[in-house]
Amino acid sequence: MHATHGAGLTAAMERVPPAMLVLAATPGGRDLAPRAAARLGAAFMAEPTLDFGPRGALVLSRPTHGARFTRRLTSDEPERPIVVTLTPGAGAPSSGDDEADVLVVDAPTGDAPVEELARMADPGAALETAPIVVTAGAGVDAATYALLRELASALGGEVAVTRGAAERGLDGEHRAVGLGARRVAPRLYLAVGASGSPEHLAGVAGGARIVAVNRDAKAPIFGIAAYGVVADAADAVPALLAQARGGP
Amino acid sequence: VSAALRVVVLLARPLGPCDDAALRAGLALGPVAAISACDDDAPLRHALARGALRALKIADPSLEGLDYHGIARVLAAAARVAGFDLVLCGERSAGEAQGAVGPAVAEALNLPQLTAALDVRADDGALVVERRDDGGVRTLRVTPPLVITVTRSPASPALPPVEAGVETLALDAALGIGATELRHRARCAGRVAPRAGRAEIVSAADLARRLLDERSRW
Repeated sequence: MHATHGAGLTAAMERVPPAMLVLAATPGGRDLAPRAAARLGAAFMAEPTLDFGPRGALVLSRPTHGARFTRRLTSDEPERPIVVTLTPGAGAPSSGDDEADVLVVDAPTGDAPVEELARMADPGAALETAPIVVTAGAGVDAATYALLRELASALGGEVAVTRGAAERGLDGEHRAVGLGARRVAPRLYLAVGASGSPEHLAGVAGGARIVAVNRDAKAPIFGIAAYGVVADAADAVPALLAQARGGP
Repeated sequence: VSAALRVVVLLARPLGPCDDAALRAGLALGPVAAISACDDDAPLRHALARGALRALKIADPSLEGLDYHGIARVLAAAARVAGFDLVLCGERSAGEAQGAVGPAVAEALNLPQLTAALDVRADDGALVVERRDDGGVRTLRVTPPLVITVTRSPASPALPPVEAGVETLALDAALGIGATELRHRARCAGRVAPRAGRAEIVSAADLARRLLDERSRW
């Protein structure tokens, strides 16, 4: 993305030096945004959640170190510009009554040293935009995973696995969430049989409400989750599925 | 047969899955110089044990509290000292996990970049890179020099461990970077606080009801 769009973005930033630059947290946006931030010498925040502070300043926050910590940045704080990537669809659409000024900037087209050889469908692409993600960890067997697929479907979401579960063959790498795998940004994230390792939770954007099922009440996931069930996945998931289908 | 690429692999602390994937990809491509900008030698010792030929660290008290941009400037300067055809680093660190250091290194080196590679293979002096992109998985052919950030890496050669020591590069003497200027321009923005909380424990039936209730309010 930088190869094709970087020069244009640079030309635009030179014409209108930004206090804040916002790009979509898509693979292309994630490629372009930090490079633009470095060019501006800007502060950078990937996929923060947004709030307003008591004096009206914009507050950006995001989990770090596998959701063990939170970094908060107030928009009136830094003496330099801020570049952020935001998850598409994460916020409510807004409309303004002012007409935006549209400037057309001449920019050199990128002399991309990149040649595309092939393009394939991404079988896990739906995970990127799913409003609900149900993720199976090491504590889930194949039979329970089949039920989790149905649960995800009943809830209108997508099913995923931790990297550890993918390595054990529960599902393909394209469904794995975490560092070294896919990053997801749902509204609700149901982690089943996953302890809540930093590597796993680094794959979940900060705006997601985390819900957990784990047999170990002391598992770190319960320090991050909003609510959860202490139970073996094989026992809890059939009950969850029955309820989600409107059963007893 | 074309000459092996000189590969620099940038490692973060703690060494995360993406860092390790970058190292494995690098070792499959050519002689590796591993570079780290932290006081802890563990990531570099790991790289030597896996077969990296050199391990260089930049240790300086002024690196503490630097953001992605400051760390990237330091790493880029060290990469220049080591010499390279290709710079690899993990797509996201196990710490801040922003995916920002690699592109910032590319900016500091004024080189093209490819982020979030799933596979990097040598191809007659060029590189074939697979990456998940908007709308699919693309296979791309690129020509070094460039910076690639790696998400995962399938192959890894089993190389004998290298019994070299970790070399230290001084920030000002070796890299020509002034600590005061660096701290002034690239401090980490914002504040970090532990995330404290405890989940409310409910029954499975309650959990399902709540999930359905939350979903119905969207």
